[in-house]
Amino acid sequence: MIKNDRPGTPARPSSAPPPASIEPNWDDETVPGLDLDDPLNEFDRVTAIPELPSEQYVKSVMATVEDSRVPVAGTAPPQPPAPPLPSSPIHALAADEYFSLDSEPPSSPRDPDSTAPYAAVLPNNAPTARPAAPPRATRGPAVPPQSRSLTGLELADLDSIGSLCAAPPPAQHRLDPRDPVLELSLDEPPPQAALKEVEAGAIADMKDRYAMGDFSGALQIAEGILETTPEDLEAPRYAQSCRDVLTQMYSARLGSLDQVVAVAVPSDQIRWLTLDHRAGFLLSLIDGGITVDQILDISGMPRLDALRIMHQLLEQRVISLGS
Amino acid sequence: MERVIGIDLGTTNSCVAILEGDTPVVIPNRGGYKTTPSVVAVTEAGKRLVGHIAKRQAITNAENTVYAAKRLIGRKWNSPQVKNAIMTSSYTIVEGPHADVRIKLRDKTYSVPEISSMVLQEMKIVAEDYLGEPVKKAVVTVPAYFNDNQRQATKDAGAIAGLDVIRIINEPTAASLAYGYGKDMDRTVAVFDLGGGTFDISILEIGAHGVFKVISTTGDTFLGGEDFDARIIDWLVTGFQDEHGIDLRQDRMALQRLRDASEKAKCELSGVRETEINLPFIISTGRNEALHLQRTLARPTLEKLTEDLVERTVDICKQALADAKLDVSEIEDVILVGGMTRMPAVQTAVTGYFGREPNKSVHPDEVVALGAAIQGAALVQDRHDMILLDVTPHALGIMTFGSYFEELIPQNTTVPTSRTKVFTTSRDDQTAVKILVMQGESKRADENELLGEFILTGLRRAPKGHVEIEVTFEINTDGIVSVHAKDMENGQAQSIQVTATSGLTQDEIKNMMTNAQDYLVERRVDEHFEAAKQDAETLIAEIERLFPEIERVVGSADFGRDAIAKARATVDRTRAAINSKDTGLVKEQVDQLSRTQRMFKGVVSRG
Repeated sequence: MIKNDRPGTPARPSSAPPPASIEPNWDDETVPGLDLDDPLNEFDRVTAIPELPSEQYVKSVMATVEDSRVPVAGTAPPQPPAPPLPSSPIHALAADEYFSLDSEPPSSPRDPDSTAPYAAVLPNNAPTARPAAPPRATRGPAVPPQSRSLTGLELADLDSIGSLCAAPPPAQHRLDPRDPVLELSLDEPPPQAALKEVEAGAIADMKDRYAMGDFSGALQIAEGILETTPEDLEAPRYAQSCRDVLTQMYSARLGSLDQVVAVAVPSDQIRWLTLDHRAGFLLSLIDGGITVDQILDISGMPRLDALRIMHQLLEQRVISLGS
Repeated sequence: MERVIGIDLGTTNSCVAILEGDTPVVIPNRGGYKTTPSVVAVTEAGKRLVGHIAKRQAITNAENTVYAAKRLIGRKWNSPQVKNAIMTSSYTIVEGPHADVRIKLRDKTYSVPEISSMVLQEMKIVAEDYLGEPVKKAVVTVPAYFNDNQRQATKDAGAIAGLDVIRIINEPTAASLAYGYGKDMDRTVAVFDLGGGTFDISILEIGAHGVFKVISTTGDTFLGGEDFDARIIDWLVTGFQDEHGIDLRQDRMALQRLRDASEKAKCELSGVRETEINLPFIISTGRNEALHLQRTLARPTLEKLTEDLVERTVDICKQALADAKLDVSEIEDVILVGGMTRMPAVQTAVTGYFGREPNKSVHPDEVVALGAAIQGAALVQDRHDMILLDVTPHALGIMTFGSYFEELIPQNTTVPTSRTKVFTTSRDDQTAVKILVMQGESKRADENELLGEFILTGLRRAPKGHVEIEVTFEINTDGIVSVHAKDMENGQAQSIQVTATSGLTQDEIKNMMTNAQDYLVERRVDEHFEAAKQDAETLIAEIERLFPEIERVVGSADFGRDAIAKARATVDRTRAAINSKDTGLVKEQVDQLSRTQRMFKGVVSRG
């Protein structure tokens, strides 16, 4: 493993995942040999493909993140995913199931490089790594009890149902128990509850992804949560931690940010590359004398996005770095 | 002898020069460019950017990038120019505590002299890097129309940057000085200055004994190279919209690229007949594909696009000659200043109007800075033949009945000077008069700059015109204007002292100087660290390259293993020193690494 000894890297809070765990050659977005265009593949963003047997891999990843804490000033850091309870279905799920490909269609096809927030909160069955078992079943226990659907009456305790029925209806909605609307309200969760359920699922998924080392995925979900629930307390901390880790990761892969960047492709061939306008913009800033750090400064993009694109350009050998 | 640099502090670009022996030379910046954009920005991370790097993010970080601060320097908050700038600038302009102008960048507010000082500091650093010694003194140029407050603000900017501005001179004068350097001439010249953001035309008389007199100066503070670029951008945007139905102006990154490419194409077309503008991946469509922009711009197209702009410069030239009360045939030479004068269409227009080829003996981008450097050297060498006399940039006078301006000290009067004039009351039984001290050339008082006012009371009651008041204007060597008014009959007197102000207090200037000095120290420390780090990393790479060979040659011997272990320890210590950002420690390690490298090389060459 290559240590990140780049000078100038800000010291991470002790609660954050240790920098030593960052492997510059490791990619959380691309998996060799995986055809992303294959319609059978559920995910357009695949996390890590473990070389170890999946069970061992899960354990090793969990061990790595066990001491990780999302940094936050003045508040208790969020706990890493708690060890599953014996009764928890996620615990009961076989690890090989957890890492096998799911055949469900992708929930939201996205550009793997995009860090734009999700348009909506992901459903709680959004994939973490490579889940195999029906995601609903695996994610069910992660949903906090208070936000769970009352659709399945057998899951609610009788007292709560009783109190629900006994509670006087709002004056403007005086409902007859025989009213089909009331039946409907028992069959379908109210929109707020549904939203909360989805949100709780997304939070659980964000935590899972974070724990699995899928920081890009966790960041996207965190940003999606913040878009719909700006007051959420956990998502900003996870988002920041993910950004820190990803920034360090890409920085480490690029090496010294004081290196001068040069375009390695003849100018008349650039248009035949597969780039987007943001990569095109960064390329246009390269004048033969500018350093990586200067490009990050003047790109006008979030630093993480610029680092990610610079790394991609380097990987594609569109640019080269030198002193 | 102390070196004095000459700085052309331009609206869009700045330039620094020095006299080397008897030859004035422009000092290139680190990027090798002889001019540096007068652009200052603060990045999201709070880092300050000045010059080319700041310009390259001027659109993507528009709210936090200041350009054309010169249009605001020394202006009052309620001036029309400031009102106009508020409407047209992408950065936030706010009112300062002294009715001055401040600029908000990120979470901090800066005075305009402070912003200009960042550009001047950059020029100072460029000169210091070139000379290898600290630079303290400078001559800075300003437009001929700048009033005392604007000149004082420029001086304050110099002081904040750590420069003693020993003289402020007019830009056309500096250009004429460089043009006439080493020649004994007596002629009337026009200085045609079309820069990046402004256009100025000045008519000067160059005297036989180093007298440079600005007869008239006029211009347009919103006409320059940027307007030419904007026409090219329009052309590109319209063409792209016709082809793809996408408005590139809506995307900041695309717009930044368009601006850079347009400026480049414009410059290229001064030398070639046509140029290709190639902007791959200019914008992404919703269908997940990127579009390219590729167009060929020919010189005639550019000339057609900018025809009216060139015509405007000619109209302004006519105005300048009318102000100078001269016929175009009386102009004996035309000096071109500013990068835009390289454009063939501009040169053709100048030739057409003045009826003569413009003088091309001086470099249009450099001529003003060269003139300032010549003047700086003359001041420290005490070469009286070349020293420009300090003159009043504008006429000084008072407002009289009917809102007219009565001039007491004409424009271009050498200081120190003193003039007196007698006025009378304008009403019957008038017992007090208000003296409004003004600066400018307009006959109408409200078109001139108000410098100060005071009231003379206790006048004898008499019919209008019977009480005589003597008004005296005095300007001392420091440029401080004193105005005295005296009732000639009873000796009742009142006076005022007018000092040019940039809108900053002395305490504010001192604080800003300290901040600028701190920034400079921090920057120098960073530079030293970076240099040491570069050396260390080069040596580490070399040593690591030699390790396998060394191990092969001496690795089997105890002393060899010991030496290799020590070398590895040195490399590790150096890396730790780099990580800790300790410049001293890194330098220490560089010495050790050098010894290790020499030893390794010796071993390898023997092995």
